Amino acid sequence: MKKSTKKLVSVLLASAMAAGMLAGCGSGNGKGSTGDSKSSSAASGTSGDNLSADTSEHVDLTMYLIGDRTPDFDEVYAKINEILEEKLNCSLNVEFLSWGEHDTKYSLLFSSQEDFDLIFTASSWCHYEQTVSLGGFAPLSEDFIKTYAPDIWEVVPEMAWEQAKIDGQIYMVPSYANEFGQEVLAVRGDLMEKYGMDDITSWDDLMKFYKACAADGIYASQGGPWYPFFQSQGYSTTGGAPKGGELILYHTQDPKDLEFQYIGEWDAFREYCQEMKDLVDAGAWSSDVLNSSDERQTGLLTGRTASMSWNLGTCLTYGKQANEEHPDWNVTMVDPNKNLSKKVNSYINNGVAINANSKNKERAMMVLNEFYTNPDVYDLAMLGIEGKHWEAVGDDQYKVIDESGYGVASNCNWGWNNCTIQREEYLENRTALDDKYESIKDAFNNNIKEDHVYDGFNFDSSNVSTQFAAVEAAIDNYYNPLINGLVDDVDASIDAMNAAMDSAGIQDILDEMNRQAAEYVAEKEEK
Amino acid sequence: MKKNGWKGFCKKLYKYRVFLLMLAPAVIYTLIFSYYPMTGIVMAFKKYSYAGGIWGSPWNGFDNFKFFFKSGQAGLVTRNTVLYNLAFIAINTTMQIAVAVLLTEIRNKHYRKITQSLMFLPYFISWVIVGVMAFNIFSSDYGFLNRLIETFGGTPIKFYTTPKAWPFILVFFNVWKGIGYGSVMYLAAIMGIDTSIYEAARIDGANVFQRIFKVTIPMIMPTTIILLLLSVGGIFKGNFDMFYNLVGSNGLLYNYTDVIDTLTFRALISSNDFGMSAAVGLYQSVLCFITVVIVNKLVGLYDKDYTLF
Amino acid sequence: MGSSSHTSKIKRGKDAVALDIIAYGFCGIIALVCLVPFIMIVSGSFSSESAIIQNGFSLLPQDFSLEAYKTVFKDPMVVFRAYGTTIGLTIVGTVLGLLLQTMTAYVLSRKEFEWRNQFSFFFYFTTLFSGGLVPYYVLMTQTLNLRDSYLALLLPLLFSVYNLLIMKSYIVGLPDSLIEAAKIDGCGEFRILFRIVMPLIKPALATVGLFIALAYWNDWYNAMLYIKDTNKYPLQYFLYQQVNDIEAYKKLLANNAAGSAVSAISLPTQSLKMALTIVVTGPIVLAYPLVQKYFVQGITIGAVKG
Repeated sequence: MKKSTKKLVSVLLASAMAAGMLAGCGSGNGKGSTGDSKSSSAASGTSGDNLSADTSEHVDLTMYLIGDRTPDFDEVYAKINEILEEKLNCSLNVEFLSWGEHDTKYSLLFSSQEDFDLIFTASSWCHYEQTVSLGGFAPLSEDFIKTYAPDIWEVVPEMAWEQAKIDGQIYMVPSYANEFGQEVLAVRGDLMEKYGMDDITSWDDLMKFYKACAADGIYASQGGPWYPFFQSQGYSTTGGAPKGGELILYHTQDPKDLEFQYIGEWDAFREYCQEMKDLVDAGAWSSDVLNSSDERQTGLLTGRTASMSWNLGTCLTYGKQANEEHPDWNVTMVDPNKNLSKKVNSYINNGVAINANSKNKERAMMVLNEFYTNPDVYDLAMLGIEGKHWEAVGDDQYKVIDESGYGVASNCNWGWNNCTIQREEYLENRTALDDKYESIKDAFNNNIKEDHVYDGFNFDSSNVSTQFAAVEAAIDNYYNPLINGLVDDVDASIDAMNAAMDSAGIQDILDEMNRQAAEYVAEKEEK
Repeated sequence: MKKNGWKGFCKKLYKYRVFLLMLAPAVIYTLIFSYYPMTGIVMAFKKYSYAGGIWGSPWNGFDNFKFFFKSGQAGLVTRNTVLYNLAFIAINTTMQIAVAVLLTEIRNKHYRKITQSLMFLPYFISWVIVGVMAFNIFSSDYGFLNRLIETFGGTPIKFYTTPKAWPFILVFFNVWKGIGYGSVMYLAAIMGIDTSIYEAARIDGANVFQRIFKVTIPMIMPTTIILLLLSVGGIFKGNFDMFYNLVGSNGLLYNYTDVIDTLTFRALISSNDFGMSAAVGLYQSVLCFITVVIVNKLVGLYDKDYTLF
Repeated sequence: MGSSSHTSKIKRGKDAVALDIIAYGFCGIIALVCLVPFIMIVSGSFSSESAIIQNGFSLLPQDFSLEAYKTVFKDPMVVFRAYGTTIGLTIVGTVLGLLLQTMTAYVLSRKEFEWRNQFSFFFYFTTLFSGGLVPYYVLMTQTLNLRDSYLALLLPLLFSVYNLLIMKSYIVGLPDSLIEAAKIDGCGEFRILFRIVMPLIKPALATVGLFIALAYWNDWYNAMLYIKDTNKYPLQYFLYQQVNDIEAYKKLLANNAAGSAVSAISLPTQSLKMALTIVVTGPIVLAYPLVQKYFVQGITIGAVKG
């Protein structure tokens, strides 16, 4: 039973990750983390087709993906297998774990020692850290990757490999797509005009808008804008920290700041919670938000709320739908943290790992190399059969002919997303919102922030698993009510949270985190 | 229980051969499907890894139990779990017996059949939908109940920020969902009463209420007590689906609504730690076991025939 | 109105009238409280998705739409096959389960069987302790190799200790003299069980049979774990998959920047969930009167009287 309810969580997380998938690399592969490839050592003589591995023996491989078999799936993979047979003397069979059941079955595949080779994985929502800690994935050494997947090694940026490391070891091939974690808002244009605002570019603007909505008797949103807030302060979630990284933040905009910030002892958090409480009391959102079964877009679409905070792509989609149904709303998009440089999302939000029990790890890696970097295989796996499911528009765009046959993005083929060869969808009827989207996206791409050493850091909680679970168990009594301004007494509630966290062992977690981080930084400096 | 050693045992084996034959399928089934997988309990004392499996993974003593007590919520959720279950048991039993008894008193066949069928409907409604429905009723913005209160000039109640309301709401939905299913068992027990006993009671001049309390209720006691004992056997286990779908992530309500199962779910959803979840399961099982043994003993003092074992 | 009741000719006292009022009123109110939400679900299943999101539940369909049912029955053959699987499983499972549970309960209720308490404990113990999913899964898939087999759907629900003990409590209620008499007549245990005990506990058989049937009817979990072959999906799992798919599909499309997603957003999820409730409940509600006829009148234990 638990499984069915976990489903929702995983789907939600999946959506966070699928964001902007097809948006690709964007125009400017700017500085820092988007760095286009490995530098020197990677090009160690191996070139595309000429692999050193032995492929004389024919093998059958199995790969697990999340999702469901679409009607034409087997047809497409038959074509992929033709290529694999010829090039690598192997065939690939794909099995699925559907959305509702992967929470249960993913771990069962490993517990029952099932025989398979490749499997989709992702940080947190798709079991990456937990499977690594239980020893389910084969570790991938640099040499192994360079030998059997030289092209992947070329393409995937160093930051992505860094992020994939747990305790110094890589266990997945991360996907390569520049998504942005920062949230933007889809906002009712008519209301902005009514309140005399022509853009929302800062936290103060945002608060002004929220207050105007509340005074006007319309809900501003479906909850407190916690993400936009800490992002506006320059902070980011920490990979592997409790509560999906939200409980312990770091100052990502300031590479010199190496301190972890537990939110309970952060003054800005206290002020934020107080501000949120005032907003709720004024009526900026419903006091029932924690129990509402509404989806995140429901408020905007039904006109119950004046805005929706989400990632770029989603804001576009729902903004468009709202405009179609209510042209007078004139929904537009704004960036509430316009002046801030943008952080590229973690690359390990999608990836593929090799089963520790696989009998053909080398061949599996070679297959992955094809999926990742061979444009023929890539297009097949991503879009289906050319001429049947899609058609090319120019060199790097595509148009969907038949969406239901293969399904462009319903089979988690984004595990091997590679924005260097990913086609973008060609749009026929552009609207003002599309232009707005483009302009914000360009602004994002042109303003990518400097790397912070912790951007590639991933906390391994296995040494403090007791404290970690205790913190996760106790935090929910306070966290959601606080960030949504629903407590009666903010100070008392934060104090109670801190007391609960203390006894659950938050200090042990912070100590362990600081220890690992120091080690990590030292190691990086050595290089 | 006197024993004549091996020979006596063999004698009995022979004497009971037909009984044992009749039991054999169920015993074999239980050994395979229940006792064999029960070995998984050792995971509660192990640092589980995929490579090691259940037996090969290293022991780690009582480490897996620690998080539950360290969370500071163990006492609260254990108390909540027990109190909710006690309330469910008491109210469900009373309501279900009342419904069963009164249904049999309804002489209009159609009315009886229809009302009884209708009571079964909630059983088919999943907790997910019940959760949505509850929100439709209790929401402060457009909830049915609050609109009703407003119509009569009252001030709306913010149920989702009022923890004290939730024990009542949860008990209500629990009773509502189980009333049809549960009352069938009592109905069947009443149908199993020999009608000649009623005849005798009527001749003795008992009125209808006396008939109910002097004949019907005592006659369905064996069933009632078995059902009570079965419920007591789960008294430390919370109905996850119900609590999760009705309360969700609303931490404001947790002091009144959090049970062992929801707490464990939240604690372990990110780590999926097999050992820790086995540990909490074992904690619940042991407490249930102790409780049921004691209650069973007490029942045995009252009447040996009513005990579970 | 009580045409068949033998008490109807006798003049009824005040107590009987009072009881009537209580019985009719109490049962009527409860039935109503159970019915109204269900009507809302029926209405919801015939409403458009956007109307449900906008207005919540209501007694009458809003913005009448068959979209949810069209989604369920988009491939009717698959649905009917799933119905077939479920009905087949339910029938086979109920018959076998009832037999197994009655036979076991009969032995455990026999006072002359000295080991009955030990065996009761042997069974009951398994309801308290369980080893969790992992060892069970390994047993089913590795040891017994039941993946993609109908047995994987049949076996896990075949025997339930709860049903066993409920059944036992009914059999214990039968007078001992009945069985003694039969034994003196030279009946064997099997004959006593099938010829004497079973006919007397028809209401109990109907009840436990109903519970077993419902367990099979509602099961999707075992299918999720062990069945990959879509041709072997039982109804509940097939429907469960559909809701999941749509929810996941909506989320995914919503997140792809492209405009192609717009069409998918109006896919029904709330209304679909409600339609599924109806599709699943329907046949059981129709079959319920078959069970109900055993709840009409108490038994007369002729053998004792005579």
